[in-house]
Amino acid sequence: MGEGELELIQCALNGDTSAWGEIVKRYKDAVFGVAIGILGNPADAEDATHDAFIRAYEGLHTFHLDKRFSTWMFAVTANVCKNKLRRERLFAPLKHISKLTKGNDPAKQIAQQARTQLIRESIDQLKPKYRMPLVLRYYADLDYKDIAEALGLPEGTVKTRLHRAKSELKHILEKKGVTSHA
Amino acid sequence: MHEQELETLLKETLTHEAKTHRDRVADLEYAIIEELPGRRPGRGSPPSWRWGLAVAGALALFLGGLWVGSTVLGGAPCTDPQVLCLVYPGATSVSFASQFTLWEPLPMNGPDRSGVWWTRLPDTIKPGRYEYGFIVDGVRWVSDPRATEFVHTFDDKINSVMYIPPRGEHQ
Repeated sequence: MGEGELELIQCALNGDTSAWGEIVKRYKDAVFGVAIGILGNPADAEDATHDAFIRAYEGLHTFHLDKRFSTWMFAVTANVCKNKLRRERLFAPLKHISKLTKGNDPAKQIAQQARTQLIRESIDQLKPKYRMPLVLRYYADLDYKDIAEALGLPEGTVKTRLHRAKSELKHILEKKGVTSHA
Repeated sequence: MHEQELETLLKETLTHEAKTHRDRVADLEYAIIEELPGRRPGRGSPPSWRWGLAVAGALALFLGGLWVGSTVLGGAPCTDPQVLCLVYPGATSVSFASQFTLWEPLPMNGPDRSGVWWTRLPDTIKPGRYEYGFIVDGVRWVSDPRATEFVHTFDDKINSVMYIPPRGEHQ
């Protein structure tokens, strides 16, 4: 738990909205990162981040105070994203928007953008059941146990899915002509 | 491509993407705080009316299903304890998803002439507690009116719960 986090959560449970605002402030970037990783679209990720914090507030009584809040918050986020994917039948192609980043070196900028877009497109080709553990592992840095808890899956299943996700991703990237730098 | 290289690329991409667009949530805490007063902290928009509505709806569907099943005809084998049924006459497709299918939707059989959809549970399921539900027309999550236990999920769904007994015991 972060500093004073437990107190903030307890205050939020007692109806202190500014305490929940502080929690949102601390976690919004991480939650948004998970959402955009899963959904692949900034506008959808923004909505999902908003919904996740509202759902989490409403379901705060189900959070066990002895557990890691971030894992629980990512679980709520993953569920909101899963629901969004189901609602929009997003097992279909994703509407990804990519933008050029601001920077000083146009060559670096373009190379970075091209690479990001290539990886992003490859991630989007994965089924959501592979995409979700991948994002929780490589963006949110959760270990197998926490991913299992967040997604409500056995740890063995998480390991299998991550392994398959990476194999599939590697295969997709190789088909796109990406090979080892080594 | 080496695994470590792939992992590094993934981390870089996901982090870069999140950073690029994170100004979208720059003022999120203020928007959330404004929205909270109408909601109950940590107690959810809880069971109360939503559960009442869900249970009433489930009961109506169940009774309707019983009536249809007993008076019109019994096409689906719903009396078999290994078969899950859902009465949904207007649906064009119904799937079944559960923890033991790893939430992958599996198409159900049906409808019969009474609008009953059904699926037989595989014999290979290990004994235990499983949450499940039905997906109508690919989008609507529907709980099982015949279930005896329900769970309110984070994303506002209601999952039904089934218990698979050890082999040799009755459900």
